[in-house]
Amino acid sequence: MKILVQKFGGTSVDRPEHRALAARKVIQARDAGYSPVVVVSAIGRAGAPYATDTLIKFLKDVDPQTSPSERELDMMMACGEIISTAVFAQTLTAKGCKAIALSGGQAGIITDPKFGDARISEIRPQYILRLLEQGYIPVVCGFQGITEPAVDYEHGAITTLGRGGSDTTAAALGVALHAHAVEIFTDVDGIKTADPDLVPAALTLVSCSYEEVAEIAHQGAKVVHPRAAELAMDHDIPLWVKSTFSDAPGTCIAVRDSKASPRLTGITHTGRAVFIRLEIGDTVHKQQIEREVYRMMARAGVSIYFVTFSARTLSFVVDRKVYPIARDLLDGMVVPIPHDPAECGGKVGTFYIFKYSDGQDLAYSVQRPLLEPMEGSITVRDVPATAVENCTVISVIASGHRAQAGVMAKIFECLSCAGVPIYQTADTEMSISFLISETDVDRSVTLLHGLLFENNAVS
Amino acid sequence: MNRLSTSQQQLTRGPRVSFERARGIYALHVTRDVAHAKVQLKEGDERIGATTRILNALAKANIAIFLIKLHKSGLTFALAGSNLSRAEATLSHFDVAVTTRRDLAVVAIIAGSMREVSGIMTDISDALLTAGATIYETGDSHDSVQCLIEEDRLNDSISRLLDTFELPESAVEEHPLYANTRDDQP
Repeated sequence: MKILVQKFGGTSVDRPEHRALAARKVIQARDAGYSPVVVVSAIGRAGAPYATDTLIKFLKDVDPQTSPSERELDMMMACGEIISTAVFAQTLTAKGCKAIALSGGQAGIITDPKFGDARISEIRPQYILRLLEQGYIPVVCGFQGITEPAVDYEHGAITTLGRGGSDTTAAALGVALHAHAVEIFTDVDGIKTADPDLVPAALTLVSCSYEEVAEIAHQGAKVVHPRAAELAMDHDIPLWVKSTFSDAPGTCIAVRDSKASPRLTGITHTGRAVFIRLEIGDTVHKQQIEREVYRMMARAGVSIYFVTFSARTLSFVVDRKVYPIARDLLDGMVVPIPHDPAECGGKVGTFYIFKYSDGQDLAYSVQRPLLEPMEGSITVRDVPATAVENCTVISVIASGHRAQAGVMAKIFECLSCAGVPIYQTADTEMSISFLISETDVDRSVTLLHGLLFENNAVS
Repeated sequence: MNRLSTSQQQLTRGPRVSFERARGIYALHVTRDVAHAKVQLKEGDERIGATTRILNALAKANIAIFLIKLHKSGLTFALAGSNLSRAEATLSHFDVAVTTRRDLAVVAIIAGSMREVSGIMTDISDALLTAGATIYETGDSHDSVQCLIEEDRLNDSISRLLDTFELPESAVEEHPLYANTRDDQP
């Protein structure tokens, strides 16, 4: 039995004519000798009557003052896929197929009990396999599973898998069923070298490695969820990204030869960020101060990235939505470092106090005078802080760039010549990222795409 | 995301679950024989133009660099230790102050969705400090935090990081820097 898992996203199942096109893909697979297993997302996107966001709002509207529990939220959200699954199974049945709708639990998808962001711990595929042997086309709810039914705590509770959950369901079923391949159907005809809304000349990749697609997805492209790519990679299941609405061949995601030449795969952009820079100064206490900053941010649940330090400064990026928290933490923050008075001219310590630029230094302006009476026995040093708001990150996906000289130089020169200020860079084995102003994103992506892709063959 | 409770931490640490990768840290990647260069531009140098010329010269000399960081008065980067002398020779053509150091290593802490979990940087810096390592440079991404440290502190650092993140020794993987370098690049 050659099993093919086919996943259809919300826009592929939102209207009868779209469902008909999706059903055609399933029937084509069956006619080609495959045993299809279908995974569907909720019908439509935000605003549609059965879309996940609509269902969440329905529950929250019961009483806006009382937040629903995560468990009940998951049960509510799961309804979107249940409705979609029943409708799609009926669509297939109406076309003469023997189809059956299954919830995540019925499909044997067992997760941990972390509601809203559960991880699949196990899949028990026996029921699906039995249905396939009987000639059924199982239509499985994406995005959901259940907790272990045999455990007293939360036994068999419905869980959801978090963002990109339906892609994850498809990849996990592909693994559990030893599928020939997993096909992710969407509204674009494959993985693009850039966002086609920004770059109409963006190319469709013929093939791509798991690592590349995971990187592309993590860096902002909405093609395949990285969890799905990682699952497929870890278990070596071929993954395809195809369009429901065309017969274009799509992009094949598979293992890439580790000895293959370095290559460029795409340009992505993501995130609304704020770049924070702290002028700690040339002090032996710098490392301790940095640790206190990390600790303070962690305590407040603020993730920091693009961390850079020099002899005198520490800089990092935070997401814009948590910037007010970060700013409030840093404004007036005091890091006291005790000394041995005998070694420091009788002073018992140095107090470092963080100061934002004028107008944003309310806590500093209140706290700084409070330290003045102590200045006979302590040293007080200001740590000026500045922030660049409205930043974003663009990334060039460049596998193997660390073995290839010149990639960074090419990109830096391109952006610099165009007058795009680069606040900071970050690189991994798979990508090079640049922190730039949000207002420069469109032209930066267009320029880099022209430089890196439109004069190069990409395959 | 807020710091995780103890029960949640039990879910976030340790090796991969049978199906999906576990949340949080699951591996340490180690790269040996790495060098670090600090290039200080002269006061009054136009930073962007000077940086561009330096990057282009290194590219022309076929020297791959990484962990590149831009500073107000210069730039820093890492490179393969074996390329250091060629990099120094290349940089000697510029009127800049260059400080280099070899015998460093990169330890990369690998996680699923690193940026959704706060506090990892604190844990890493505490572990490395306890191991007596100096962090010369860091780099981070959605799935990793890379720290450039002294190679002779590597073993202690790995032990501390394994303890901190409750990882088995099998979580450590060697990642040679230039596994696929070719002489004819770029």
